[in-house]
Parts: sequence; C-alpha cells; structure tokens
Amino acid sequence: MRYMKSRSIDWLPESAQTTAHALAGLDAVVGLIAFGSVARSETTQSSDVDLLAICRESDDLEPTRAVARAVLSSQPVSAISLEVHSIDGLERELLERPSFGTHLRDEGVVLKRSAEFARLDRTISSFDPSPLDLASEMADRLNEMKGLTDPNRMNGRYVVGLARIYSLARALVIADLVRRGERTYDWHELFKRYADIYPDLEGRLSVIESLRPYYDHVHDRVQLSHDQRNIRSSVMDEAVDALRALGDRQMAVLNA
Amino acid sequence: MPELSADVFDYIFDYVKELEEGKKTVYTSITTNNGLVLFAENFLAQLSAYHLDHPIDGLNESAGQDLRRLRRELEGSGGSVALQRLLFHLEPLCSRVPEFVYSHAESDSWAFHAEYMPEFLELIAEWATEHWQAVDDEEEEAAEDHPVVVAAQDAAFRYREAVE
Repeated sequence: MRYMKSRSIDWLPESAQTTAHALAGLDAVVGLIAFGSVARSETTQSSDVDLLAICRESDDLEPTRAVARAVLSSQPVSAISLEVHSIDGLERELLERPSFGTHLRDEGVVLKRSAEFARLDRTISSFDPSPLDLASEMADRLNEMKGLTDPNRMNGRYVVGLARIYSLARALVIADLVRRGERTYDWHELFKRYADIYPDLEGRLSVIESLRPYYDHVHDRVQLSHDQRNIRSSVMDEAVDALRALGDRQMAVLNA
Repeated sequence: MPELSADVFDYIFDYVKELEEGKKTVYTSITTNNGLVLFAENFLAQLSAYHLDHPIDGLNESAGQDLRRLRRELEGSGGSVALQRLLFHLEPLCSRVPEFVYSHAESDSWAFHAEYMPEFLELIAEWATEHWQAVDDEEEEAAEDHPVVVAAQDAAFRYREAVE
C-alpha cells in the first residue's frame, strides 16, 4: 500500500512549527500536509510555508480556522500560507483542480496522519488524473480570464489585477505542464519550461513572471513601496495582452 | 482627483446574470477569481486609495489591521458613520476570503453569497449616497444621479433579488 512521505513537524522551519503543532494537536484535524517551496527545500526571502490542514468534516472547518487565526496572529505575517479543507472538500478540490492533486502527490509531506486520513492519503499518493481531467481544469480557468481583462474596472489601482493575472497564468501553465506529464511546480522554473515548449510565448511569459512581486504583496509576503504600487496603465495593458496570448494558445491546444 | 469608478460594479452585474441564468448559485465554491472576490478586492483598492488616502491592495491580515486603524481614526475624528460601518464590515473579509477560497464547503459559500454580500453592497450604497450627497450639496446637484450612486444602489438591489 502506497502513502505520501511523512516527516516530523520539527522538520519545518521554526517559524511554522508553533502553528503546525497547534493544528496537529486538534482532534478534528485528521491530516496535515506541507507542500510548495518548503517541501522542495527551496525557501527564499518571500517564501512562506504552505500548509494544508484536513478536517474530519465541514463542521470542523470554522473551529480549526479559529485556532489557526489565533496562533497566526502572534506569528510573523508572511510565515505561513494555510488552506483548511474537510475530507469531502479536498476530494472535490482534487476533482476540480487535479493539478493541485499532482502537486500534493509529487511534493506533499505528511506531518500528521490519522487513521481517518489513510484513504485520502492513498488517493493522493496514487493520484493520476487523465489528460481530459486536466483539460477540463484548464477550460474552467480560461473562463476566469474575463474578470481580469477589463482595466476600466480597476480604475488605476492595478496591483490586485496584476497579482490575479500572475496567479491565473501560473495555474494555467502548471495545468498544461501536468497534462503533458511534466512535474514542475517551482514558479521560476515552470515559466522557463513552458517557454521551451512554446518559444514564441517567451516574451509574454516573461511579462507574467515579472508580476510575481504584486502577487507576493497581495498575499502579504512582501511590502511594495507607494511608488511601486502606482502602476502605469501600459503595464496593466501589457499584462492583459500576455494573459490573452497564453489563453489563446491554451484554447487552441484544447480545441486541437 | 480620482474617485471610485462605477465600472467596478460590473463585477456584480456579471455575477447577477450568472445567478439568474443558473450558472452560479449561493452554494457555488469560491475561488480567488470569483467575480465577487474580484469585486471586493478592487472596490477596497479604489476606496482606500481614493477616499481614505491609504492604498490597500489585497484581502489579507495586514489589510484587516489597516482597516481597523482607519476606522478608529474616523471614529476619533467624528468622520462618516456610513464609512465606519462599511470598513467594519470589510475587516473580517480580509481573513475570511483567504479561508473560504477552494474550501468547497457549502456553509462557506452560502455565508459569503447570501449573508455577507447583500449587506456589503447595501453598506456601499449607503456610503456612496451619503458621500456624493455631501459633495453634490456644494454643487447643488442631485446625488442620486451620480453614476457611482446609481450603480451601487442598482447592484445592491439586483444582487439581493438574485440570491433570494
């Protein structure tokens, strides 16, 4: 029987251990997983620790979040990025966002494993979505583009829009790479890899990759200065064009 | 001087259309690019930059702390009560949205769609009416004709109709 790899909470960076211990100590939390840069041992200044807490049922979500909020409020703001799911919610997430499932499969490190988590643990460790599942995720995400391509709605305040363009484009790239059987989740590496596949998109991908600081700012990981947040409309237009070019390419891929 | 744009309410009008067409319901899972989340983020970005002189980009813990501080400053200086109520309503959203996204819990989706958003939009309409009334009193124009007031009131009304 195959399970995800596991480690002790003490393996985490010290800044994340208090929160992880608090979550793991809750009876309602049946599984606790670390993933992302910490799991790849590639932490940088703006890296946070990605944690996924899995509760027994949806009624446990709010009490678990309350504990996390209380602990996190006494911690450095940027230290942890936490998702809290119920078992059912995570199963649904794997169906709707299969690239997240492969991410957990390839990089997830289990910090707490109870008997009730065993079935989901096995599901994730052997998770293997079909290309059609991943194409469906791409199509869903392409539908989300429309809310990000009208700068008039942002009226000169573009930081949030640029952050969302970055995260959507990154998700689209990850989904297509996974569909192609590639396992690249590092944000810098995945844009390079995608540009290798589509050299004509290299400039557009470079524009999208350059939006990372806005994403980090919106997620409270870095603080941009006042001047850095006063963005010219041409920057927004260029980002919208880059997202559209990526979307058009992926739409063509899906239609083919 | 720039001010909140009526165009930001297009996020709400698009969402209302999807609710009316059955493409979305009050139980639809909330994602980061959900139209209501995009509305809340962009509304806050414009409100904070253009009407509070303190730009806030994103719904996160720091944003919640900033909103709390700005509300207390308003309270201390006898500032607009409608704006204080709006900021008070926005504060919890800064911690709740990051928690809601991708949880796929029907209770989260329902609370956000059917409880939080209708009151949020009504508080915006209340503040917008008060704000542009004060501005327009000086110019002897009718606040109810201001595009932001019209859009805010329309959004609040149509959204509540769509979720009820």
